[in-house]
Amino acid sequence: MVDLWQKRLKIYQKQLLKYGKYVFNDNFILALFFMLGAIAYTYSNFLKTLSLKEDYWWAKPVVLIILVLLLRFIKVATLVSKPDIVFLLPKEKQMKIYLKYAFRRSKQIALVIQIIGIIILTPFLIYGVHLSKVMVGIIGLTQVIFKLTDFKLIQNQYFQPWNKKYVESIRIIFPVIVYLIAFYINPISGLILSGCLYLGLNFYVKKISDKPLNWTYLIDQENNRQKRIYTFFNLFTDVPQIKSGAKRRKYLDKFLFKAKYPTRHIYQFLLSRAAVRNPEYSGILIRLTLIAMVVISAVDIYWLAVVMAVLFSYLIIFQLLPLFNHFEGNVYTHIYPVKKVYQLQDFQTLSMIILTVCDVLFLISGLIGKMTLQEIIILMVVLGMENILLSRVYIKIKLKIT
Amino acid sequence: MIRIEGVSLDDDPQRYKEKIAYIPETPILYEELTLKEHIEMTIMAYNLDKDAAWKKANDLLKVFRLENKIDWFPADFSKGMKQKVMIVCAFITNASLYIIDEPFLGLDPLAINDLLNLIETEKKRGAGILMSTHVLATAQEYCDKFVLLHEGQVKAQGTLEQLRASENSQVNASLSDIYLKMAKEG
Repeated sequence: MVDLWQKRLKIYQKQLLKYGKYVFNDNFILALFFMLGAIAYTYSNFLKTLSLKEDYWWAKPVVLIILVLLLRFIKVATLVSKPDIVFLLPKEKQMKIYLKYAFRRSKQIALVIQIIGIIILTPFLIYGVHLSKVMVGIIGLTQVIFKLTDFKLIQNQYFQPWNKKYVESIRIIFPVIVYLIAFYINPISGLILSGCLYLGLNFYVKKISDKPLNWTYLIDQENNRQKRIYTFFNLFTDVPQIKSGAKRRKYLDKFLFKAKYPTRHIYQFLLSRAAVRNPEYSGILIRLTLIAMVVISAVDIYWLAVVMAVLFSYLIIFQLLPLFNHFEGNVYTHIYPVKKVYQLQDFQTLSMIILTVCDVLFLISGLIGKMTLQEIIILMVVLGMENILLSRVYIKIKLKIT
Repeated sequence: MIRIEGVSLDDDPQRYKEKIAYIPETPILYEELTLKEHIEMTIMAYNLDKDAAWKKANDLLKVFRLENKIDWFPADFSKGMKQKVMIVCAFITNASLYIIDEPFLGLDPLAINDLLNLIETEKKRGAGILMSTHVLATAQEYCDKFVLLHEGQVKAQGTLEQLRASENSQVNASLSDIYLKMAKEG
Protein backbone atom coordinates (compact mmCIF):
# COMPACT_ATOMS: atom_id res chain seq x y z
CA MET A 1 0.00 0.00 0.00
CA VAL A 2 2.92 2.29 0.60
CA ASP A 3 4.00 1.65 -2.99
CA LEU A 4 0.51 2.45 -4.23
CA TRP A 5 0.52 5.75 -2.37
CA GLN A 6 3.93 6.73 -3.62
CA LYS A 7 3.05 5.79 -7.19
CA ARG A 8 -0.13 7.84 -7.09
CA LEU A 9 1.62 10.74 -5.43
CA LYS A 10 4.23 10.82 -8.18
CA ILE A 11 1.58 10.85 -10.91
CA TYR A 12 -0.36 13.54 -9.08
CA GLN A 13 2.67 15.75 -8.61
CA LYS A 14 3.60 15.35 -12.26
CA GLN A 15 0.14 16.50 -13.26
CA LEU A 16 0.26 19.50 -10.93
CA LEU A 17 3.58 20.43 -12.46
CA LYS A 18 2.22 20.06 -15.98
CA TYR A 19 -0.70 22.40 -15.37
CA GLY A 20 1.31 24.59 -13.06
CA LYS A 21 3.45 25.47 -16.07
CA TYR A 22 0.42 27.09 -17.71
CA VAL A 23 -0.62 28.91 -14.57
CA PHE A 24 2.82 30.21 -13.69
CA ASN A 25 3.69 31.57 -17.08
CA ASP A 26 5.93 34.61 -17.33
CA ASN A 27 3.09 37.11 -17.50
CA PHE A 28 1.31 35.71 -14.53
CA ILE A 29 4.45 35.53 -12.39
CA LEU A 30 5.21 39.16 -13.20
CA ALA A 31 1.69 40.22 -12.34
CA LEU A 32 1.85 38.13 -9.17
CA PHE A 33 5.07 39.76 -8.05
CA PHE A 34 3.63 43.20 -8.57
CA MET A 35 0.45 42.26 -6.73
CA LEU A 36 2.29 40.72 -3.80
CA GLY A 37 4.61 43.69 -3.65
CA ALA A 38 1.70 46.09 -3.58
CA ILE A 39 -0.06 44.09 -0.87
CA ALA A 40 3.11 43.88 1.24
CA TYR A 41 3.70 47.60 0.85
CA THR A 42 0.12 48.44 1.83
CA TYR A 43 0.30 46.08 4.79
CA SER A 44 3.53 47.52 6.12
CA ASN A 45 2.19 51.06 5.76
CA PHE A 46 -0.93 50.02 7.60
CA LEU A 47 1.15 48.48 10.38
CA LYS A 48 3.07 51.71 10.75
CA THR A 49 -0.17 53.51 11.59
CA LEU A 50 -0.76 51.26 14.58
CA SER A 51 0.59 52.12 17.98
CA LEU A 52 0.86 50.16 21.15
CA LYS A 53 -0.82 52.94 23.05
CA GLU A 54 -4.16 52.96 21.23
CA ASP A 55 -6.87 50.40 21.67
CA TYR A 56 -8.39 49.00 18.50
CA TRP A 57 -11.74 47.37 19.24
CA TRP A 58 -11.95 45.93 15.75
CA ALA A 59 -8.54 44.23 15.86
CA LYS A 60 -9.62 41.12 17.76
CA PRO A 61 -12.72 40.28 15.66
CA VAL A 62 -10.71 40.80 12.46
CA VAL A 63 -7.93 38.49 13.62
CA LEU A 64 -10.48 35.94 14.73
CA ILE A 65 -12.12 35.89 11.34
CA ILE A 66 -8.77 35.65 9.55
CA LEU A 67 -7.58 32.79 11.73
CA VAL A 68 -10.83 30.83 11.32
CA LEU A 69 -10.69 31.34 7.54
CA LEU A 70 -7.06 30.29 7.50
CA LEU A 71 -8.11 27.02 9.09
CA ARG A 72 -10.01 26.09 5.92
CA PHE A 73 -6.69 25.46 4.11
CA ILE A 74 -6.17 22.73 3.14
CA LYS A 75 -8.11 19.51 2.81
CA VAL A 76 -6.61 16.05 2.64
CA ALA A 77 -5.42 14.77 -0.71
CA THR A 78 -6.26 11.06 -0.61
CA LEU A 79 -5.79 10.47 -4.35
CA VAL A 80 -8.48 7.80 -4.47
CA SER A 81 -10.63 7.39 -7.54
CA LYS A 82 -13.95 5.78 -8.51
CA PRO A 83 -12.60 2.32 -9.45
CA ASP A 84 -11.02 1.97 -6.01
CA ILE A 85 -14.33 0.98 -4.46
CA VAL A 86 -14.22 -2.13 -6.63
CA PHE A 87 -10.52 -2.91 -6.81
CA LEU A 88 -9.30 -1.85 -3.39
CA LEU A 89 -12.24 -3.10 -1.36
CA PRO A 90 -10.47 -6.35 -0.40
CA LYS A 91 -7.53 -4.29 0.83
CA GLU A 92 -9.65 -2.23 3.17
CA LYS A 93 -7.57 -3.01 6.23
CA GLN A 94 -4.41 -1.88 4.48
CA MET A 95 -6.10 1.34 3.37
CA LYS A 96 -5.43 2.62 6.89
CA ILE A 97 -1.74 2.63 6.10
CA TYR A 98 -2.38 4.30 2.77
CA LEU A 99 -4.47 6.98 4.44
CA LYS A 100 -1.85 7.47 7.11
CA TYR A 101 0.64 8.50 4.43
CA ALA A 102 -1.96 10.69 2.72
CA PHE A 103 -2.83 12.45 5.94
CA ARG A 104 0.81 12.89 6.85
CA ARG A 105 1.60 14.63 3.59
CA SER A 106 -1.43 16.90 3.74
CA LYS A 107 -0.76 17.68 7.38
CA GLN A 108 2.76 18.81 6.58
CA ILE A 109 1.58 21.16 3.85
CA ALA A 110 -1.36 22.44 5.89
CA LEU A 111 0.77 23.18 8.96
CA VAL A 112 3.31 25.05 6.87
CA ILE A 113 0.49 27.19 5.50
CA GLN A 114 -0.89 27.85 8.97
CA ILE A 115 2.53 28.82 10.30
CA ILE A 116 3.20 31.15 7.37
CA GLY A 117 -0.19 32.73 8.02
CA ILE A 118 0.64 33.24 11.67
CA ILE A 119 4.01 34.75 10.83
CA ILE A 120 2.36 37.24 8.49
CA LEU A 121 -0.21 38.07 11.14
CA THR A 122 2.36 38.40 13.94
CA PRO A 123 3.08 42.13 13.56
CA PHE A 124 -0.64 42.83 13.56
CA LEU A 125 -1.10 40.60 16.58
CA ILE A 126 1.56 42.56 18.41
CA TYR A 127 0.68 46.09 17.35
CA GLY A 128 -3.04 45.73 16.73
CA VAL A 129 -4.21 43.18 19.23
CA HIS A 130 -1.43 44.04 21.69
CA LEU A 131 -0.29 40.51 22.42
CA SER A 132 3.14 39.83 23.78
CA LYS A 133 5.49 37.69 21.72
CA VAL A 134 4.87 34.75 24.03
CA MET A 135 1.13 35.08 23.64
CA VAL A 136 1.53 35.24 19.87
CA GLY A 137 3.32 31.93 20.11
CA ILE A 138 0.45 30.55 22.19
CA ILE A 139 -2.09 31.67 19.58
CA GLY A 140 0.07 30.09 16.88
CA LEU A 141 0.11 26.85 18.81
CA THR A 142 -3.65 27.01 19.21
CA GLN A 143 -4.06 27.45 15.47
CA VAL A 144 -1.84 24.45 14.77
CA ILE A 145 -3.78 22.32 17.24
CA PHE A 146 -7.03 23.38 15.56
CA LYS A 147 -5.73 22.36 12.17
CA LEU A 148 -4.81 18.96 13.60
CA THR A 149 -8.30 18.75 15.09
CA ASP A 150 -9.67 19.57 11.67
CA PHE A 151 -7.78 16.63 10.23
CA LYS A 152 -9.11 14.37 12.96
CA LEU A 153 -12.63 15.43 12.04
CA ILE A 154 -11.92 14.56 8.41
CA GLN A 155 -10.54 11.22 9.50
CA ASN A 156 -13.70 10.59 11.48
CA GLN A 157 -15.83 11.34 8.45
CA TYR A 158 -14.00 8.71 6.46
CA PHE A 159 -15.10 5.98 8.86
CA GLN A 160 -18.30 6.67 10.66
CA PRO A 161 -19.42 10.03 9.45
CA TRP A 162 -21.46 12.42 11.49
CA ASN A 163 -24.10 14.58 9.91
CA LYS A 164 -22.37 16.84 7.39
CA LYS A 165 -23.99 20.06 8.64
CA TYR A 166 -23.05 19.13 12.19
CA VAL A 167 -19.42 18.70 11.20
CA GLU A 168 -19.28 21.93 9.20
CA SER A 169 -20.62 23.90 12.14
CA ILE A 170 -18.11 22.27 14.49
CA ARG A 171 -15.32 23.29 12.11
CA ILE A 172 -16.40 26.90 12.47
CA ILE A 173 -18.05 27.23 15.86
CA PHE A 174 -15.35 25.54 17.92
CA PRO A 175 -12.49 27.76 16.72
CA VAL A 176 -14.70 30.84 17.03
CA ILE A 177 -15.59 30.05 20.64
CA VAL A 178 -12.05 29.12 21.59
CA TYR A 179 -10.57 32.20 19.96
CA LEU A 180 -13.17 34.41 21.63
CA ILE A 181 -11.99 32.99 24.91
CA ALA A 182 -8.36 33.30 23.85
CA PHE A 183 -8.61 36.93 22.82
CA TYR A 184 -11.04 38.29 25.33
CA ILE A 185 -10.09 36.29 28.37
CA ASN A 186 -6.76 34.58 28.12
CA PRO A 187 -4.79 32.96 25.28
CA ILE A 188 -3.59 30.21 27.58
CA SER A 189 -7.14 29.09 28.39
CA GLY A 190 -7.79 29.05 24.67
CA LEU A 191 -4.80 26.83 24.17
CA ILE A 192 -5.85 24.46 26.92
CA LEU A 193 -9.40 24.27 25.57
CA SER A 194 -8.21 23.54 22.05
CA GLY A 195 -5.83 20.90 23.39
CA CYS A 196 -8.68 19.21 25.28
CA LEU A 197 -10.85 19.23 22.15
CA TYR A 198 -8.07 17.66 20.16
CA LEU A 199 -7.34 14.97 22.71
CA GLY A 200 -11.02 14.16 23.08
CA LEU A 201 -11.52 13.83 19.34
CA ASN A 202 -8.31 11.84 18.99
CA PHE A 203 -9.50 9.37 21.58
CA TYR A 204 -12.88 9.03 19.90
CA VAL A 205 -11.43 8.51 16.44
CA LYS A 206 -9.07 5.83 17.73
CA LYS A 207 -12.06 3.93 19.04
CA ILE A 208 -13.91 3.94 15.74
CA SER A 209 -10.98 3.35 13.40
CA ASP A 210 -11.79 -0.34 13.21
CA LYS A 211 -15.07 0.43 11.52
CA PRO A 212 -15.38 -0.11 7.76
CA LEU A 213 -14.17 2.64 5.50
CA ASN A 214 -16.79 4.98 4.06
CA TRP A 215 -15.68 4.49 0.46
CA THR A 216 -18.33 6.54 -1.34
CA TYR A 217 -17.71 9.55 0.92
CA LEU A 218 -13.96 9.19 0.54
CA ILE A 219 -14.18 9.03 -3.25
CA ASP A 220 -16.70 11.89 -3.48
CA GLN A 221 -14.54 14.16 -1.34
CA GLU A 222 -11.46 13.47 -3.43
CA ASN A 223 -13.39 13.95 -6.70
CA ASN A 224 -14.71 17.32 -5.51
CA ARG A 225 -11.28 18.38 -4.35
CA GLN A 226 -9.67 17.49 -7.67
CA LYS A 227 -12.54 19.13 -9.56
CA ARG A 228 -11.85 22.38 -7.70
CA ILE A 229 -8.20 22.22 -8.61
CA TYR A 230 -8.94 21.40 -12.25
CA THR A 231 -11.46 24.24 -12.43
CA PHE A 232 -8.72 26.60 -11.31
CA PHE A 233 -6.34 25.23 -13.93
CA ASN A 234 -9.12 25.48 -16.52
CA LEU A 235 -8.89 29.26 -16.23
CA PHE A 236 -5.43 29.08 -17.75
CA THR A 237 -5.61 26.20 -20.18
CA ASP A 238 -7.89 23.44 -21.49
CA VAL A 239 -8.22 20.73 -18.91
CA PRO A 240 -9.83 17.63 -20.46
CA GLN A 241 -11.33 16.54 -17.16
CA ILE A 242 -13.51 19.61 -17.03
CA LYS A 243 -16.44 19.13 -19.36
CA SER A 244 -18.90 21.89 -18.68
CA GLY A 245 -22.36 20.59 -19.39
CA ALA A 246 -25.06 22.64 -21.00
CA LYS A 247 -26.83 25.27 -18.90
CA ARG A 248 -30.61 25.52 -19.15
CA ARG A 249 -30.93 29.31 -19.25
CA LYS A 250 -34.72 29.16 -19.47
CA TYR A 251 -34.96 32.95 -19.41
CA LEU A 252 -33.36 33.14 -22.86
CA ASP A 253 -35.83 30.72 -24.46
CA LYS A 254 -37.94 33.51 -25.90
CA PHE A 255 -34.99 34.83 -27.92
CA LEU A 256 -34.25 31.52 -29.61
CA PHE A 257 -35.61 30.31 -32.94
CA LYS A 258 -38.94 28.64 -32.33
CA ALA A 259 -39.87 25.27 -33.81
CA LYS A 260 -41.56 25.82 -37.16
CA TYR A 261 -43.57 23.31 -39.13
CA PRO A 262 -42.95 22.63 -41.87
CA THR A 263 -39.35 23.68 -42.17
CA ARG A 264 -36.03 22.43 -43.40
CA HIS A 265 -34.22 24.97 -41.25
CA ILE A 266 -33.86 22.75 -38.22
CA TYR A 267 -30.28 23.84 -37.69
CA GLN A 268 -31.41 27.36 -36.83
CA PHE A 269 -33.36 25.75 -34.01
CA LEU A 270 -30.53 23.48 -32.94
CA LEU A 271 -27.47 25.71 -33.32
CA SER A 272 -29.06 28.73 -31.66
CA ARG A 273 -29.73 26.63 -28.60
CA ALA A 274 -26.21 25.21 -28.62
CA ALA A 275 -24.74 28.72 -28.91
CA VAL A 276 -26.74 30.01 -25.97
CA ARG A 277 -26.75 27.00 -23.63
CA ASN A 278 -23.27 25.59 -24.15
CA PRO A 279 -20.74 27.55 -22.11
CA GLU A 280 -18.12 26.66 -24.71
CA TYR A 281 -19.75 29.12 -27.10
CA SER A 282 -21.82 31.42 -24.90
CA GLY A 283 -18.81 31.98 -22.67
CA ILE A 284 -16.48 33.14 -25.39
CA LEU A 285 -19.19 35.20 -27.09
CA ILE A 286 -20.01 37.09 -23.92
CA ARG A 287 -16.39 37.62 -23.00
CA LEU A 288 -15.39 38.88 -26.43
CA THR A 289 -18.40 41.18 -26.63
CA LEU A 290 -17.82 42.63 -23.18
CA ILE A 291 -14.12 43.25 -23.77
CA ALA A 292 -14.93 44.82 -27.13
CA MET A 293 -17.52 47.07 -25.54
CA VAL A 294 -15.08 48.21 -22.89
CA VAL A 295 -12.35 48.86 -25.44
CA ILE A 296 -14.61 50.74 -27.85
CA SER A 297 -16.03 52.99 -25.18
CA ALA A 298 -12.63 53.62 -23.60
CA VAL A 299 -10.55 54.38 -26.67
CA ASP A 300 -10.55 58.09 -27.49
CA ILE A 301 -9.17 57.93 -30.99
CA TYR A 302 -12.06 57.35 -33.37
CA TRP A 303 -10.36 55.38 -36.11
CA LEU A 304 -8.75 53.13 -33.50
CA ALA A 305 -12.17 52.41 -32.00
CA VAL A 306 -13.50 51.53 -35.44
CA VAL A 307 -10.56 49.20 -36.07
CA MET A 308 -11.18 47.54 -32.71
CA ALA A 309 -14.89 47.08 -33.52
CA VAL A 310 -14.04 45.52 -36.88
CA LEU A 311 -11.40 43.29 -35.31
CA PHE A 312 -13.61 42.04 -32.52
CA SER A 313 -16.47 41.35 -34.94
CA TYR A 314 -14.10 39.19 -36.93
CA LEU A 315 -12.92 37.43 -33.78
CA ILE A 316 -16.50 36.70 -32.74
CA ILE A 317 -17.30 35.04 -36.06
CA PHE A 318 -13.98 33.21 -36.00
CA GLN A 319 -14.73 31.78 -32.56
CA LEU A 320 -18.24 30.88 -33.67
CA LEU A 321 -17.06 28.74 -36.62
CA PRO A 322 -16.58 25.48 -34.62
CA LEU A 323 -20.31 25.65 -33.79
CA PHE A 324 -21.08 24.54 -37.34
CA ASN A 325 -19.40 21.19 -36.77
CA HIS A 326 -20.41 20.91 -33.13
CA PHE A 327 -22.83 18.06 -33.85
CA GLU A 328 -20.74 16.34 -36.48
CA GLY A 329 -20.14 13.45 -34.06
CA ASN A 330 -23.87 13.02 -33.47
CA VAL A 331 -25.08 10.29 -35.83
CA TYR A 332 -28.45 11.97 -36.31
CA THR A 333 -26.77 14.85 -38.12
CA HIS A 334 -26.19 12.32 -40.88
CA ILE A 335 -29.41 10.36 -40.56
CA TYR A 336 -31.91 13.22 -40.53
CA PRO A 337 -33.47 13.79 -43.96
CA VAL A 338 -32.13 17.35 -44.13
CA LYS A 339 -29.75 18.51 -46.82
CA LYS A 340 -26.33 19.78 -45.83
CA VAL A 341 -26.95 23.03 -47.70
CA TYR A 342 -29.69 23.97 -45.23
CA GLN A 343 -27.24 23.45 -42.41
CA LEU A 344 -24.88 26.00 -43.93
CA GLN A 345 -27.69 28.48 -44.60
CA ASP A 346 -28.94 28.21 -41.05
CA PHE A 347 -25.49 28.73 -39.64
CA GLN A 348 -25.03 31.82 -41.77
CA THR A 349 -28.37 33.23 -40.63
CA LEU A 350 -27.50 32.55 -37.01
CA SER A 351 -24.07 34.16 -37.35
CA MET A 352 -25.59 37.23 -38.95
CA ILE A 353 -28.09 37.63 -36.14
CA ILE A 354 -25.48 37.15 -33.41
CA LEU A 355 -23.17 39.62 -35.11
CA THR A 356 -25.98 42.14 -35.51
CA VAL A 357 -26.68 41.99 -31.78
CA CYS A 358 -22.98 42.52 -31.09
CA ASP A 359 -22.86 45.39 -33.58
CA VAL A 360 -25.73 47.15 -31.83
CA LEU A 361 -23.90 46.73 -28.52
CA PHE A 362 -20.75 48.13 -30.11
CA LEU A 363 -22.69 51.16 -31.34
CA ILE A 364 -24.03 51.73 -27.84
CA SER A 365 -20.45 51.49 -26.54
CA GLY A 366 -19.52 54.13 -29.09
CA LEU A 367 -22.22 56.37 -27.69
CA ILE A 368 -20.89 55.81 -24.19
CA GLY A 369 -17.44 56.64 -25.56
CA LYS A 370 -18.84 59.97 -26.68
CA MET A 371 -18.77 59.50 -30.43
CA THR A 372 -20.66 62.04 -32.48
CA LEU A 373 -23.79 61.03 -34.39
CA GLN A 374 -21.88 61.21 -37.65
CA GLU A 375 -19.16 58.91 -36.29
CA ILE A 376 -21.77 56.45 -35.05
CA ILE A 377 -23.44 56.32 -38.45
CA ILE A 378 -20.12 55.68 -40.18
CA LEU A 379 -19.36 52.92 -37.65
CA MET A 380 -22.78 51.44 -38.27
CA VAL A 381 -22.23 51.31 -42.01
CA VAL A 382 -18.76 49.80 -41.61
CA LEU A 383 -19.97 47.14 -39.19
CA GLY A 384 -23.00 46.43 -41.36
CA MET A 385 -20.86 45.82 -44.42
CA GLU A 386 -18.47 43.68 -42.42
CA ASN A 387 -21.41 41.69 -41.07
CA ILE A 388 -22.63 40.84 -44.57
CA LEU A 389 -19.10 40.06 -45.76
CA LEU A 390 -18.34 37.78 -42.81
CA SER A 391 -21.63 35.88 -42.68
CA ARG A 392 -22.24 35.52 -46.40
CA VAL A 393 -18.74 35.19 -47.84
CA TYR A 394 -16.15 34.45 -45.17
CA ILE A 395 -18.10 31.69 -43.44
CA LYS A 396 -18.87 29.95 -46.70
CA ILE A 397 -15.23 29.96 -47.75
CA LYS A 398 -13.86 28.96 -44.35
CA LEU A 399 -16.29 26.08 -43.86
CA LYS A 400 -15.88 24.64 -47.31
CA ILE A 401 -12.19 24.30 -46.58
CA THR A 402 -12.52 22.72 -43.14
CA MET B 1 -28.03 -1.63 -53.51
CA ILE B 2 -30.47 -1.28 -50.66
CA ARG B 3 -33.93 0.00 -51.51
CA ILE B 4 -36.61 1.02 -49.10
CA GLU B 5 -39.99 1.06 -50.83
CA GLY B 6 -38.16 1.38 -54.10
CA VAL B 7 -35.98 4.31 -53.14
CA SER B 8 -32.22 3.97 -52.75
CA LEU B 9 -29.82 6.28 -51.00
CA ASP B 10 -28.28 7.30 -54.32
CA ASP B 11 -31.63 8.04 -55.97
CA ASP B 12 -33.06 10.43 -53.40
CA PRO B 13 -31.19 10.69 -50.08
CA GLN B 14 -33.83 12.85 -48.48
CA ARG B 15 -36.76 10.54 -49.25
CA TYR B 16 -34.64 7.55 -48.33
CA LYS B 17 -33.73 8.98 -44.95
CA GLU B 18 -37.33 10.00 -44.28
CA LYS B 19 -38.26 6.33 -44.34
CA ILE B 20 -35.81 5.28 -41.63
CA ALA B 21 -35.98 5.71 -37.87
CA TYR B 22 -32.93 4.66 -35.86
CA ILE B 23 -32.62 3.81 -32.18
CA PRO B 24 -28.96 3.37 -31.22
CA GLU B 25 -27.78 1.05 -28.48
CA THR B 26 -26.26 3.91 -26.51
CA PRO B 27 -28.61 6.89 -26.39
CA ILE B 28 -27.39 9.78 -28.52
CA LEU B 29 -28.85 13.03 -27.31
CA TYR B 30 -28.34 16.73 -27.79
CA GLU B 31 -26.78 18.05 -24.61
CA GLU B 32 -28.23 21.48 -25.17
CA LEU B 33 -31.85 20.54 -25.90
CA THR B 34 -34.73 19.79 -23.56
CA LEU B 35 -36.91 16.71 -24.02
CA LYS B 36 -39.59 18.86 -25.66
CA GLU B 37 -37.03 20.27 -28.07
CA HIS B 38 -35.79 16.81 -29.01
CA ILE B 39 -39.33 15.95 -30.08
CA GLU B 40 -39.63 19.25 -31.95
CA MET B 41 -36.35 18.48 -33.74
CA THR B 42 -37.66 15.07 -34.82
CA ILE B 43 -40.92 16.56 -36.08
CA MET B 44 -39.09 19.23 -38.07
CA ALA B 45 -36.47 16.86 -39.43
CA TYR B 46 -38.95 14.24 -40.64
CA ASN B 47 -41.46 16.83 -41.82
CA LEU B 48 -44.21 15.27 -39.71
CA ASP B 49 -47.68 16.68 -39.17
CA LYS B 50 -47.29 18.73 -35.99
CA ASP B 51 -50.59 17.87 -34.32
CA ALA B 52 -50.56 14.16 -35.10
CA ALA B 53 -46.93 13.83 -34.05
CA TRP B 54 -47.42 15.69 -30.77
CA LYS B 55 -50.50 13.62 -29.99
CA LYS B 56 -48.50 10.43 -30.45
CA ALA B 57 -45.56 11.93 -28.55
CA ASN B 58 -47.72 12.83 -25.58
CA ASP B 59 -49.22 9.34 -25.52
CA LEU B 60 -45.77 7.77 -25.58
CA LEU B 61 -44.41 10.16 -22.95
CA LYS B 62 -47.26 9.11 -20.68
CA VAL B 63 -46.58 5.41 -21.32
CA PHE B 64 -42.91 5.84 -20.46
CA ARG B 65 -43.62 8.19 -17.55
CA LEU B 66 -41.66 11.07 -18.98
CA GLU B 67 -44.45 13.63 -19.38
CA ASN B 68 -43.46 15.74 -16.38
CA LYS B 69 -39.83 15.95 -17.48
CA ILE B 70 -40.51 17.61 -20.75
CA ASP B 71 -38.58 20.76 -19.91
CA TRP B 72 -35.47 18.98 -18.61
CA PHE B 73 -32.24 18.06 -20.36
CA PRO B 74 -32.33 14.36 -21.33
CA ALA B 75 -28.55 14.49 -21.10
CA ASP B 76 -29.07 14.51 -17.32
CA PHE B 77 -31.42 11.49 -17.27
CA SER B 78 -30.60 7.95 -16.17
CA LYS B 79 -29.65 5.45 -18.88
CA GLY B 80 -33.08 3.84 -18.97
CA MET B 81 -34.83 7.20 -19.26
CA LYS B 82 -32.48 8.30 -22.03
CA GLN B 83 -33.32 5.18 -23.97
CA LYS B 84 -37.00 5.88 -23.54
CA VAL B 85 -36.44 9.34 -25.02
CA MET B 86 -34.83 7.71 -28.07
CA ILE B 87 -37.80 5.33 -28.37
CA VAL B 88 -40.33 8.16 -28.19
CA CYS B 89 -38.48 10.20 -30.82
CA ALA B 90 -38.24 7.20 -33.14
CA PHE B 91 -41.82 6.02 -32.88
CA ILE B 92 -43.47 9.33 -33.70
CA THR B 93 -41.89 9.27 -37.16
CA ASN B 94 -44.21 6.66 -38.72
CA ALA B 95 -41.16 5.39 -40.54
CA SER B 96 -41.22 2.51 -42.98
CA LEU B 97 -38.17 0.90 -41.44
CA TYR B 98 -37.13 0.98 -37.79
CA ILE B 99 -33.53 0.09 -37.10
CA ILE B 100 -33.22 -0.77 -33.42
CA ASP B 101 -29.86 -1.69 -31.90
CA GLU B 102 -29.97 -3.80 -28.70
CA PRO B 103 -33.24 -2.32 -27.45
CA PHE B 104 -33.59 -4.40 -24.29
CA LEU B 105 -30.42 -3.42 -22.48
CA GLY B 106 -31.06 -0.95 -19.71
CA LEU B 107 -34.86 -1.03 -19.89
CA ASP B 108 -36.98 -2.21 -17.00
CA PRO B 109 -39.50 -5.03 -17.70
CA LEU B 110 -42.42 -2.60 -17.98
CA ALA B 111 -40.61 -0.54 -20.59
CA ILE B 112 -39.55 -3.65 -22.49
CA ASN B 113 -43.18 -4.70 -22.61
CA ASP B 114 -44.24 -1.24 -23.80
CA LEU B 115 -41.56 -1.23 -26.48
CA LEU B 116 -42.61 -4.66 -27.76
CA ASN B 117 -46.21 -3.45 -27.94
CA LEU B 118 -45.07 -0.44 -29.94
CA ILE B 119 -43.18 -2.71 -32.31
CA GLU B 120 -46.26 -4.92 -32.73
CA THR B 121 -48.38 -1.88 -33.59
CA GLU B 122 -45.89 -0.69 -36.18
CA LYS B 123 -45.67 -4.18 -37.64
CA LYS B 124 -49.44 -4.24 -38.11
CA ARG B 125 -49.20 -0.82 -39.77
CA GLY B 126 -46.88 -2.37 -42.30
CA ALA B 127 -43.53 -1.04 -41.14
CA GLY B 128 -40.45 -3.20 -41.06
CA ILE B 129 -38.26 -3.56 -38.02
CA LEU B 130 -34.60 -4.49 -38.19
CA MET B 131 -33.54 -5.33 -34.65
CA SER B 132 -30.19 -6.52 -33.36
CA THR B 133 -30.17 -8.28 -30.02
CA HIS B 134 -28.49 -10.91 -27.90
CA VAL B 135 -31.70 -11.69 -26.02
CA LEU B 136 -32.60 -14.71 -28.15
CA ALA B 137 -35.62 -15.78 -26.10
CA THR B 138 -37.44 -12.51 -26.68
CA ALA B 139 -36.33 -12.39 -30.31
CA GLN B 140 -37.77 -15.84 -30.92
CA GLU B 141 -41.08 -14.82 -29.42
CA TYR B 142 -41.58 -11.59 -31.35
CA CYS B 143 -39.60 -11.71 -34.57
CA ASP B 144 -40.64 -13.24 -37.86
CA LYS B 145 -37.27 -13.72 -39.54
CA PHE B 146 -33.73 -13.99 -38.27
CA VAL B 147 -30.23 -13.36 -39.52
CA LEU B 148 -27.64 -15.16 -37.43
CA LEU B 149 -24.19 -13.60 -37.32
CA HIS B 150 -21.06 -15.22 -35.96
CA GLU B 151 -17.58 -13.73 -36.04
CA GLY B 152 -18.80 -10.99 -38.34
CA GLN B 153 -20.26 -13.34 -40.94
CA VAL B 154 -23.86 -14.16 -41.81
CA LYS B 155 -24.13 -17.84 -40.97
CA ALA B 156 -27.83 -18.47 -41.43
CA GLN B 157 -31.05 -16.64 -42.10
CA GLY B 158 -34.73 -17.31 -42.41
CA THR B 159 -37.77 -18.06 -40.29
CA LEU B 160 -37.48 -20.27 -37.25
CA GLU B 161 -38.67 -23.30 -39.25
CA GLN B 162 -36.21 -22.59 -42.03
CA LEU B 163 -33.38 -22.24 -39.53
CA ARG B 164 -34.30 -25.51 -37.84
CA ALA B 165 -34.18 -27.20 -41.22
CA SER B 166 -30.99 -25.62 -42.54
CA GLU B 167 -29.09 -26.10 -39.32
CA ASN B 168 -30.26 -29.69 -38.91
CA SER B 169 -31.66 -28.94 -35.51
CA GLN B 170 -34.36 -30.77 -33.61
CA VAL B 171 -38.01 -30.04 -34.35
CA ASN B 172 -38.52 -28.02 -31.22
CA ALA B 173 -35.10 -26.39 -31.11
CA SER B 174 -35.18 -22.89 -29.70
CA LEU B 175 -33.38 -20.01 -31.35
CA SER B 176 -30.83 -20.17 -28.57
CA ASP B 177 -30.18 -23.88 -29.22
CA ILE B 178 -29.80 -23.26 -32.96
CA TYR B 179 -27.42 -20.38 -32.42
CA LEU B 180 -25.24 -22.18 -29.89
CA LYS B 181 -25.02 -25.27 -32.11
CA MET B 182 -24.11 -23.09 -35.09
CA ALA B 183 -21.53 -21.14 -33.13
CA LYS B 184 -19.88 -24.25 -31.74
CA GLU B 185 -19.63 -25.84 -35.16
CA GLY B 186 -17.97 -22.69 -36.44
